[in-house]
Formats: sequence, structure tokens, C-alpha cells
Amino acid sequence: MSSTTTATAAPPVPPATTPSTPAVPPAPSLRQRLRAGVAGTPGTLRVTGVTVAVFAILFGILGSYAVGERSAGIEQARDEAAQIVRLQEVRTNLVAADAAATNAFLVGGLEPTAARESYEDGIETASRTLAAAAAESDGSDPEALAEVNQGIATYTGLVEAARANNRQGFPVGVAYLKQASTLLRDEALPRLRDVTAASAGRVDDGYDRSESSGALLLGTACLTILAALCAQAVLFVRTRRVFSIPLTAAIGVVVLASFLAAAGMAYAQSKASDVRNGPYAQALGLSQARIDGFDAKSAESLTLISRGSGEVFETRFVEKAEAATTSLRNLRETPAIDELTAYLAVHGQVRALEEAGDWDGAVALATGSDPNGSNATFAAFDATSGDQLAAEAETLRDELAEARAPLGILRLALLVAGLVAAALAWQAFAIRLREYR
Amino acid sequence: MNRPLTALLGLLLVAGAACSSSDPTEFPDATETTTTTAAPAQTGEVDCGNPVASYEPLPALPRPGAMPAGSKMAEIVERGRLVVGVSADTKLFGARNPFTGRIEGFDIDILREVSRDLFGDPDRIEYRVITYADRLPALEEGRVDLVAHTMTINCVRWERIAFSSEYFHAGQKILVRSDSTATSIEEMDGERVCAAEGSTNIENIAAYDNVTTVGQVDLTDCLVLFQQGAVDAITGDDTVLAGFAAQDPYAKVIGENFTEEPYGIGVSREHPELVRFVNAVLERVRSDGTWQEIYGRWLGDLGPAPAPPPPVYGRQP
Repeated sequence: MSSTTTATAAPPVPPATTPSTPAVPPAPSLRQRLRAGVAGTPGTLRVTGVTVAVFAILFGILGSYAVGERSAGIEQARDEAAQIVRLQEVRTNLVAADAAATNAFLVGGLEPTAARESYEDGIETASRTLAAAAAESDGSDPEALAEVNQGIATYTGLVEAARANNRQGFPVGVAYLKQASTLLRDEALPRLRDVTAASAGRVDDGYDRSESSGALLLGTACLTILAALCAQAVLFVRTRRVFSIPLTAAIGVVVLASFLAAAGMAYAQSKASDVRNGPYAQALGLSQARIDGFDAKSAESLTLISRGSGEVFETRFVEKAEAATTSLRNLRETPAIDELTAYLAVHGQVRALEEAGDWDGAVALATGSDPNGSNATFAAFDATSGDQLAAEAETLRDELAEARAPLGILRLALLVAGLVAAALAWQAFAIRLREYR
Repeated sequence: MNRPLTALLGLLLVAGAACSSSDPTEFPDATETTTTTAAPAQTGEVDCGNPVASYEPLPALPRPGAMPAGSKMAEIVERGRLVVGVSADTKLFGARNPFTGRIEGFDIDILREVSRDLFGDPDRIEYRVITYADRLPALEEGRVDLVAHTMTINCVRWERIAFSSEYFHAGQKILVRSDSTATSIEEMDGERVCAAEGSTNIENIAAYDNVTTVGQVDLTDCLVLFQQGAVDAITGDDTVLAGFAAQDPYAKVIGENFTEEPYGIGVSREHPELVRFVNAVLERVRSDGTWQEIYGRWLGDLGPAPAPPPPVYGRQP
């Protein structure tokens, strides 16, 4: 209907001097205009048209939002997974530094340069990675990580006291070393474990957020198509046209857009899921195995240092060794398990030597640079598992980024599709309404 | 710091020699023992006669390698090594030398003499480092043959294990910061005193209510806490404390002996012939100058070697 034919207000009539002039009706109010607008078939058509257009625009907005949620969910999972890799790196390096310190102590006197360098590398890498993790953390994590940092500072202080006393030949050095090791395991490491668990929870949340968005897209698409079909029925009833091209085109646009969006989201979800079961699980398992491995290595040295009252450390060794082996066995391929098994065999030899009374032989095997000794076989495990972990972490980051890549365009496409469908739907009704002018 | 300590040590050695027949386990409040440790009461009112009296020694030392058949010594020689429980962090008595990695000290040298008389070689020893609390269980469970671990002879312990004759006379004292004005435990109100769990030392100070007792698994852990300011004093045998003072120039040993602490080598009660053998070894060590030599090597800084504590016999297994 042409928008110009509204009831025109009659010019104001001065008080009648000639009573014969007929009265002109007053200007219609807004309510009266609205009521007139929705009255009769033209009114029904107008209402239906507006409704379908609104649905189409809502489809565009909500659909775009749904795609955005999936993208954001995957992004959250990616960021938190990267954070977990960082935190596990901190834990690994701390335990590695401790293993180097206890091993050096076992050698006695002036510690070997290699052991000292290994210790310092471990502390340095741990501190640097901790700072990076703290920068990326949120919630209550920054405080917890600040406490870990403090714990590291205290730990290094105690190790230095142990070293200084050992250099003088004072037996109190051992007591400082034990205090340092205990502090690390009772305070710094559990806090890191808690922060890592929180991050893992957020990875799961990211995946959940991503999954639930699919329902939203499907829901709005169905409702919109339903509305359009009802509108088609209204048109049929009121105008006896079986089918309207623009309206059908609008439905077509909605269907096509939904289809593309669904396909894109399915691709993203499937890829993200593959990452979760693949590189993410591998990275978690490998990093945990490495932490347990270094912990076991340090327990091996402490058993020998305690020399006869070291059962508690040997128990810890067995526990950590089993945990590491299980972690590796549960992975898809079992990387580094051969090297770990080789190291455990050497540890068995060390124990056998000590139990047979040859403490010096046990220490030599546990600390020397013999290629078949404890340090060398463990270093092989460290190298293999470390390389594998780095590869998995990189794959994890890359594949999740790829998963999200098409979603950005799809968001825009859905908004545009919504607008186009709205315009087409309105056009269908506009054509019909023109007949009523 | 050394001269008063030397004087005190010399004095108590003479006193110990003169009155070794008196009951050395008397101390101010010989009432119910402490509840600060889980270990069973180590001192208290148990009568066993003269605690330092041990079994008669073997009349003559058997030739090394030719021990009487069926005796524990023959079993040890058969095995090829003597298994002993020692400390690895008690400087001067049993401590690991970080430069050589070997455990050495007064107690260790006494054990090496036993090995010399068993095998002809002083180094056929397997050392098992044990805590204070583990000294008696290690013997009772047969994990070690002998224990030489600054272990005080007293009647309560005689209920569970056997002792050789006395090979060293020590006394319990207190170690405080070098700037402390206290001269005895009574002047240390409100301070925290650290001791080893499972030792007679920790029970002896439980009677003093004016101080707080802090127990640690190893006495050396006490030194760490002391250096960090977490405790104000450490109590232990004056010999061990002398070792601490040697490691920390800001510590000094004060006061009279709380108690007399005669040291003996611990042996399982099931092997009285081994006790007799060890007593015979100790007789040799006292008479051929070895004791003085060992004393000079480890405690020479405290002055010339005194006479070794005379043995007392007469106990029946």
C-alpha cells in the first residue's frame, strides 16, 4: 500500500458562520491509525510481513552469535591448553633442578660443573616460564603463582646454604638440602598442581561452551523457517497465491546460510575434538610422566644420601615410576617408554648394589657419566619425551587455530543472510499489499 | 670458646672416672617421662643395678677370621662384612666427609677396631645410617649387628638391648647463641629448645616447664632451625654440641651437665657372646693406646686425651 494515502487532516474549520457547512471529521490519533493499519487483509499481511522480517533478522543476529560462541569456546580451550603446557613446564623444571641438586650432593664436596649447570638451567627456565604464565593468568591464579615464585626464592636460598655448608665440609649441609626438597614438595609444587587443575577445568568449560552453541543456531534456523512457512500459509489463505517467489527465496537463503554455518561449526568442533583426544591428551600425559620421572630421579639420590634410612624415598621412587609408566602407556603411541624402562632397569641395579652392601658402587652408578649409568639413561628419557612434548604442544596450538579459522567469515555471512532474507520476505508482502491500494 | 669447654670436658671425664660406680641416670625430676615423643620411655625408674656394668669380656681375643663356631662373630665373618648402624651427621662422632664421601668419627673408629679384630681389616664394614629413634628397633629387628651412635647406656634400654662396656663419657648440655647471657636452662624462660626425638635428651628437658620443647627427627635439623632463628637453643650431648659449635661460630655450649651420658655400643640381647667379644676389643683399645689415638684424632682440639673410662663388669646375660 502506498504510504502516502493516510487520512489527511482537514484544515481547521473556524466556528461555523453558515450552519449549512458539513462538519469534517477530526485528525485520526496514532492508535486509530494503527488499528486501521492492522484491520482487514492488508493489516494481516502487514503484520505477517513484519513478523517474518523480524524473525529473519533475529536469525542473522543469533546465528552469528552462536558461531561466535563456538569460536570463543575453542579460543578459550586453546589459551588454557597453552597455559597448562607452561605450568607443567615450570613443574618439570623445578623437579629437574631438585634432582640435579640432590645428585650433585651425593657426589659430595665440590659438585660437578654439569650438575650445577643443570640445576641453574632448571631454576632459570622455571622462573621465566612462571613469569609468562603469571602474565597470562586470571582469577585467583596470579596470587597462587606469586606464592610459587616466593617458594622458589626460598628453595634456592636453602640450596645455597646447603652448598655453602657442604663446601666447608659441615654435615649440616644435608639437613638444609632435605629442608629445601621438603619445601618444594609441600608448598610450591602442590600450588602449581592446583593452578594447573583450574586451567584444565577451564579447557573443559571452553569445549562445553563451544558444543552448546550448535543448538542455538539450529533453534533459530528452525523457528525462522517455521515462521516463513506460516507466512506462506497466510498468503495462500488471504490471496489465494499458492506460492510466492520472494518468500521462498527468503526461506532458501535461511536454509543455505544455516547449512553453511552448521557445516563450518561441525568442522571446527570435529577438529577441536580431535585435538582434545589427540595432541592435548598426549601433551598432558607426557608432561605428567616427565614430572613423575624427575621426581623419581631425585628420590633415587635421596635414598642413597639417607643410606640405610631411605625406605621412605624408595617408596616414593616406586610410586612415581609407576605413575610415569602408566601415563605413557595410556597415550596413543607410547613415546619414550623404552627410555623410561631402560632407566628403571638401571635404578634396579643401583638398589641391588646398595642392598648388597656396596654403597660406593651404587653411588658411582647413580652419579657417574657412564653411558649405561643412571644419569645418561635418564637424560635419554628426558630428551625423547621433551622433544615429543614440544611437538605435541605446537600441533595443539596450530590445529586449534585452524579449527577456528572459517568461523570468522561465517559470522559475517550469517548477519548478511539474515538481512537479505528479511528484505526478501518483506518484498513478498509488499507486492501483495500494493494490490490493496 | 674452646677453653671453658675443654675444662668442663676434662673435669667431667675425671669426675666420671672417679665416680663411675654411681648411678648416672639420676636427674632432678625422675618422675613420669615425657609425652612429647612417641618412643617408649628411655629413662625412668627401672632398676638394673649399675647400668654401665656389662658382661665379662672374652678372656682372649680369637684370631681374626677364626671365630668360635656357632657364635655371632662366626656368622659375621662368614657373611664377609660387619653391618653397623651409625649417624652420618654427628660431626666428630659419625659424619659424612663431603670431600671423600666416607663416614668418619670417633664412633666409626671404634667400630673399625671391632672390624680389625674380626677380619684383620678395619674396613669390612657396611654402614647403615639410622635416626636416633631407630637405634633400638634396628638391633631388635636384626637389621644391624652393632650400633655405635652416641648412645647412652641406661637401665630402660637394657630391657630391650645389651650394651658393651662404656667407651666414652659425655654429658648433656645446651647450645645457645653466642650473644646469649643465659648460663643454665633455668635462665631461659620462654625460649624454644630443640632436641632429637627418641633421645634421652628430649626427655630430660621435659621436666623444665619454663622452656618450650621442639622435637626433630635428626638433631642436625635442630641446627638448621637454630641458624634460621626458629629455635633459640639446642640440647644434646656435649660431644655432639661441640660438633655443632665447630660448624657455627655464632653458637656456644653452656651450663653444667644435666646428666652424665656414658656411651656404649649397642648389641642385640640375643648375642651375649658378641657383647663379650666387643668388650674384649675395647679392653685392647684401652690398653694399647688406640683409645688415646682416636680421641686425639677427633677431639684433640679439646686438649690432651684423658684416660679412657674404666670398664665395669659383673652383669649376667
